[in-house]
Amino acid sequence: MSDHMTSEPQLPEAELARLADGSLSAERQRQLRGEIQNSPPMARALKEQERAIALIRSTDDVVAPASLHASLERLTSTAPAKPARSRLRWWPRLGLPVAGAVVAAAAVVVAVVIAGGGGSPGPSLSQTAHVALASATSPAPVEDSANRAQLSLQVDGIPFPYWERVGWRTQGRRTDTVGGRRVVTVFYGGRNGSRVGYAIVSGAPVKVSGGQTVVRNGHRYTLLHQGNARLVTWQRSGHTCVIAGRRVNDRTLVALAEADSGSAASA
Amino acid sequence: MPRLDPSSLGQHLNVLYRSAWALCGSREDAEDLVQETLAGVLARPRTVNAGGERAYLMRALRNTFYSRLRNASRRPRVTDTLDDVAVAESRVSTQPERAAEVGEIFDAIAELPEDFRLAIVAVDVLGLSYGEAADSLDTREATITTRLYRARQRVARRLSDEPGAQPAREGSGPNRSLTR
Repeated sequence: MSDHMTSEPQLPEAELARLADGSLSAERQRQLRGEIQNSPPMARALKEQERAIALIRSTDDVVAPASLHASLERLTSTAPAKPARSRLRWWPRLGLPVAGAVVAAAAVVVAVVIAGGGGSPGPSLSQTAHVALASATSPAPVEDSANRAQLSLQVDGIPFPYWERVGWRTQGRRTDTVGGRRVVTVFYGGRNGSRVGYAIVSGAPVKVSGGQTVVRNGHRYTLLHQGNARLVTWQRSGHTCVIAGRRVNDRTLVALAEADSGSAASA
Repeated sequence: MPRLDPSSLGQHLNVLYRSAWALCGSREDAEDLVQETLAGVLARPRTVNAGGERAYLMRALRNTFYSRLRNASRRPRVTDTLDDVAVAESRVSTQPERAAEVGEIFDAIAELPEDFRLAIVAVDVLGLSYGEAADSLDTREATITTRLYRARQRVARRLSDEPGAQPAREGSGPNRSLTR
């Protein structure tokens, strides 16, 4: 498609779009930001991208009218009978060498079910992972000046970790409301270009079914996959946490999850 | 493949509504579009990839949007009603540098060419990854990225305070083209 408005054909448009929303690899981000310092047209273009994202983000609190909720309720009540197992399934990828390495280092329980808490059922694990794999919509939170191991951003008093010293640079964040619960995600980029989203779900823990459970230092981590993405989920102070990424292995995911207790994974 | 749980659709209703508003540029049309989309989705049991509900809904929304445009083009054109014109939400955004009304923002998106509009709705409004957006819009990830860049550029310029920054409008108004 032609774009008559664009007057700077030399700009790396795709990379600027990704830089603005935090989906560009950390290494390329650094390089590109260096180039931008010497290029006013690129700086202007990036500013426009960021402004558009911020404007759209400002509409996040627009909600559907009550009449639409009522329509959905009517439609749902007359929808064809729900299948016996309607919840999305999670199939563990058993037998993978990477998974095997993790399994060898820990006790494994298959098909564990962690019961959810009371109140709003909240998001499914699948929905939480979906958010953790999406793009950042806001700038990265800053390091907590009072505690250099964590960021200034918290969910119900649970802080996100600061991992830059161990090679995982904070890239951006997003906040979603899923199933009536707030899900806050911080995105980190590793030195090798990999990227993970770390999501914390407000309120009671969400239900976890299936997967492989790894126990490390008394903490229980459940490994799952969704398409080509892998994730680990565990609880911190009764809250569900999820780290998900597409180019990370199980060992790294578990190490990152453990990093909250002090031993960070190197990127 | 897992089945879509109808009861889970409520969790996506707000973001689906915002996406529809950005596509149509009208709250009333958005409500109709979402209702029609959901009615189609719930007409029979559906299967979706695990975690792919939003991408599935984006595809359904797009298909319904196109269907509505095609049907509208066959009907006699009518003058906009007062409701069509008064779409701006009274709430004013407090961020970022310039407070822009929600209606203005969605109008700016709705005035984009179809391809640009769908890309920015899929990624920035609905929150899909680039790959998911490409899948649900039947195109390549690289294409989505370029369209997204240009869509954001136009939205930013359209809502800019700087003189001369606003691009020429394309396909504005309620009778937008169906060119792809």
